Amino acid sequence: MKKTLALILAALMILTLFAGCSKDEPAAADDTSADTAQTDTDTSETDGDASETGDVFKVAWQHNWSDQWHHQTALVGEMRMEEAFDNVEVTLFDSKGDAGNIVPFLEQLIMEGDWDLCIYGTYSDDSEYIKKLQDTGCNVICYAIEWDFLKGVCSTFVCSEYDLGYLAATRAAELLPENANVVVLRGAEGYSGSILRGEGFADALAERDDITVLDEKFCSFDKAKAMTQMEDWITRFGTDIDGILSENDAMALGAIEALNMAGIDAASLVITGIDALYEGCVAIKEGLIDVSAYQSSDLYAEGFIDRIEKLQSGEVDAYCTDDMVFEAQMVTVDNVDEMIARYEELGMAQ
Amino acid sequence: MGEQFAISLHNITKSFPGVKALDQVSFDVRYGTVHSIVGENGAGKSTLMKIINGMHRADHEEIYVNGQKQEITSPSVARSLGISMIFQELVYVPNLTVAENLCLGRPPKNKAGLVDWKTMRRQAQEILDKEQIHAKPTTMMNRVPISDIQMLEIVKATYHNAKIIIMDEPTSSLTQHESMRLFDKIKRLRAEGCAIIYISHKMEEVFQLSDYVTIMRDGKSIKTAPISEFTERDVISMMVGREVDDIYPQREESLGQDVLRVENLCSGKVFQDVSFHVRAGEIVGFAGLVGAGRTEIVRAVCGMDRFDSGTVEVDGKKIKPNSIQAAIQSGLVMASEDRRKYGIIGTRSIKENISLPNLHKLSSGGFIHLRQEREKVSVYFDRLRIKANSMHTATYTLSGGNQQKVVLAKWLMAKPKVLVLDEPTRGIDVGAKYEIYEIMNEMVQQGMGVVMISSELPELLGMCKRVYVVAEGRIVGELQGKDLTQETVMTYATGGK
Amino acid sequence: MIVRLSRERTINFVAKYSIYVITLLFMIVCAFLNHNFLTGNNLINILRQVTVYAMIGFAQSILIISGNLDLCAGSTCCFAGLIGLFAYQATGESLVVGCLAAMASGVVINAFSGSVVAFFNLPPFVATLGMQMAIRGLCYIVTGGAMISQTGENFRYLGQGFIFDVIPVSIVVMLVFAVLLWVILDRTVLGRNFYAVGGNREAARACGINLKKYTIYAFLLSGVFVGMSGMLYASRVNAGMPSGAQGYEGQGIAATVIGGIGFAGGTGSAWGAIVGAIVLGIITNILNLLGVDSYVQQIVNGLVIVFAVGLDTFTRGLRTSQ
Repeated sequence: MKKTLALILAALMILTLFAGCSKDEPAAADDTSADTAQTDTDTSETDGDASETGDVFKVAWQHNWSDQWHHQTALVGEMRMEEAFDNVEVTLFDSKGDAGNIVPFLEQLIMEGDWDLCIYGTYSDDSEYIKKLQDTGCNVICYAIEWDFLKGVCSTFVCSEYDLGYLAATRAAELLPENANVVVLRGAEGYSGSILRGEGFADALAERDDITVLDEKFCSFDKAKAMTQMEDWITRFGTDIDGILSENDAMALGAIEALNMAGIDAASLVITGIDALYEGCVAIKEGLIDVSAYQSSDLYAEGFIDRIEKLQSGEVDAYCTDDMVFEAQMVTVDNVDEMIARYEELGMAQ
Repeated sequence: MGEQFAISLHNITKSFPGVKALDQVSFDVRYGTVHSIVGENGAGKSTLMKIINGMHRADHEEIYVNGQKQEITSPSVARSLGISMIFQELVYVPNLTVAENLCLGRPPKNKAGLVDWKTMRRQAQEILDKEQIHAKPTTMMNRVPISDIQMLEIVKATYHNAKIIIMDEPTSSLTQHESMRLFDKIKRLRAEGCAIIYISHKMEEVFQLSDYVTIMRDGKSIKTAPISEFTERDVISMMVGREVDDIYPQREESLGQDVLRVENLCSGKVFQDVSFHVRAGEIVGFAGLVGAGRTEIVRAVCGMDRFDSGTVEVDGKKIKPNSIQAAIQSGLVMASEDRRKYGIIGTRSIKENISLPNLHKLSSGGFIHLRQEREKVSVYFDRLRIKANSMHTATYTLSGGNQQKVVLAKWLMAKPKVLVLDEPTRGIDVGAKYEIYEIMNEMVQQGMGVVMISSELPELLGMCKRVYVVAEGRIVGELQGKDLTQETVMTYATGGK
Repeated sequence: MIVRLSRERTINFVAKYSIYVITLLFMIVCAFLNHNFLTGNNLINILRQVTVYAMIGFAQSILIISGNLDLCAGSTCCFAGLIGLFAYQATGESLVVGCLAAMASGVVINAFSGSVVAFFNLPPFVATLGMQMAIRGLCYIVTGGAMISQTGENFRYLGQGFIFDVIPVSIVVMLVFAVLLWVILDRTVLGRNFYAVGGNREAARACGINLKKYTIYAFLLSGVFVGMSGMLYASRVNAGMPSGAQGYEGQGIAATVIGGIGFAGGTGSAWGAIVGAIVLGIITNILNLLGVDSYVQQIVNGLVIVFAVGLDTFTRGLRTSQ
């Protein structure tokens, strides 16, 4: 019975394949240049302008929902894009942190064929899928990560990861006392963002020759792991630690927990983070974290809004591969109030 | 007749969806008698007992207890009428003491309303002494041997003024000695005026104990009469529904060379110095008390367990010890006592079970010839008359008898030289038993040698002309001809000479 | 006896097929709500998306049928994919060598797990749980922690490519291996003995089957399937990711159980894993097309698995009470 069922299911799918073949077939299209594919199709999707199904401009955004910065940026982006336009509809997709979900996401968009803008991040060369997606009239932006192989294939919107690290560490270098000792909380091994941030840290610290890096460890951007690691460092180095550089706020906060438990005053150390999430800002206000560098969710949102405007006016089409680079920003105790106010405005202050 | 019956049943009928379990069952049970109910599996005995005990309601029933019509709606109602049932699976709480179990639910209370432990223990001790049970009131129930627990359960029943006691296969987990103790108790209860309804498969017991017997078949009560009016053959015939000439089929004995020869087999404390032989055309019996070591011996011979020293020869050739594969390849196969655990693979079909050890004959290059498999297996399926929808049915759906036939088919197909059967008819209907005896005869008539372990002496004596007696890990006797009697076997088995 | 059989048979029937009925209902509802669902493209996408899960499901089928389990399958899949990628790059971009290397590494890892289970009598659950962590660490070691984004010219062919521009390669691979699995389980002595060992160890032993040998055979054979699944995964993602395929062993097990392969062993057919993977894929696809919130999707996924495993246990209870 099982066998029959499997055969029936497979046969059904094959039948509908032929039935579906009579419709627009981007997936079955050839792999030659985009020209021939376009002239054959009879749907009105070629020029990448808005309004295919009705007047709705559909945006698809895939990210890892469990990453705080990414989810926040997506929520801000969704809200601002939908506010700025009457006809924009943003759908958020969860990659669940599994690279295996990226290609299915692209396949779904290609299959549905009626998307106008795709915002996502990737770890591999998706050129073929991106081209097919653009053929359906959907513009593609890869964000928060940059790859050589995507140059000229799709747009890339990034903020310099190197700058994030460099800015935060430079500020730390200004604040650290003479002959200071620091520990460094790194993110994920092999992740390009971590590699660049790490280089930023190293270069900034090297500008003073009396700063010693006692140790650096990868804690997967995770608060709990960072807390455990900090406890071990406290055991090893005690009060010798003058500063903590962290690749994100979450790990910095974890380290602060460890300091609290050990009875060490976190405000007396120089602590830096990255992301400037709400909790990070609160910690800055309280004097626990000294600086948090960040890539602004608002700047990304503005970039996307700009792109949508250009797509809707026809200034660019689905094949546009213009890149954007955002400047790394910094929050310190001087400007933290503005940041907190922005969070309250967005409704993200807990 | 004017006498008041303990229980009088008239036209008890009960149907379950799809089947009529009881069809107008009627008979009377008298006080001061042991009344046996016999019948094959599925005859309706359990259903009937459950109705009397209040666990089921019949569709149509007229039950008179002590001459008065009663509606037995629950076991507590049954108990209040003096009816008590001792189940095959004993009902007790293992983590409580003997005393607590005896008073389960109704412990003696003192004036303050609290449990009176002293009185409870005293009452328990009285009972233990009277029944000669070696346990204390404070002993945990799970440390008490099964036969004692059973005895205590009977006592519990009578203690609460049960006058009608139903016993379902009470000797299934008892040794010979413990069974005798039970029978004494039953006789005493009878003398005290109780009515005992006794359900059993074992003809010997039925004839030994009963005053009356009711034979059931297919949900009907066929006949009820004093036991003296029947012979064993009569009873079996009525149970099965056809004339049964012999309980054990006859065969011609023509013996050949030794097919199996075991010399000086030893295994630690389990058995020592075991030597025996089996000839082609012979069914050799292994008798002994439970725990004497018979199963352990044959398991070692057939490679299932390790042994320390000794030799096993099949057809004159020594076989590699401790290897089931080697044994099977030399033609020595075994059907275990516990067929559910060792004999069949329940989730697989009959066909697959039968072909499993024979696949090398049905395949080439590792690939099974499915058509050949079907053809060859159906030969055995038909020959053993396995009752199932088809050979593709899963074996867990089969009755005990049919499952045993699958096991036999499996080994027959292997065309062995020696087949060892450990309790081959345990838990099997009378009708199916006969079929298995016939199969055994057929096998030895074709030149095989068979070793049969059985705890039912009549069966052993009926099928075997030569019997080894095992006691405490040794072979203490080899009996044949005039010496081969129940008494002699028992004497040897219990250590006498 | 007859009575119990028919009531039990209806329960068995309902239990076995209810998951398919429910899926069918989902499909009908979705077809109305989303015009894309029943298109050829979408259905092909579903099949493509479940290939890796199905392959791991095949591997788990072999093990579960023979009474074992592999909690390391996700890590092994990832590792095999990495080895496949390295071999591919080292031999001037030969996909064939890559596949062979991936399958070989799957076999080697499983040989180790199988030996531990067979010779030290460790329950497969425990042994493979340990291996899961160890092999994951190995993945990071062989890549130096880094992700490999540049693979090669045609590395993505297996996971993303098409034959004759219409038929996805990954589906063909999946079907080929499905047929292979079916042949082994249904037609060979090896397969029959797997069912026996899983169905009743002691009875299988009593028939002369060497339990240790068959445990190892089962692990080795399943290693071939897991290895190939790794190559498919790496090709589909088109990258070497040491953190890849996490949790995939659970998906594989879910696919087999939903497909009717009883957890207790000894039952189920080769097609079970495909059917189970397809059912799971359909449900995920429906939820995606209907735009259901990711968190809700996770709940639904979990419930489906609990439901399927629960049914399996329930009907098994009925069966073994005979």
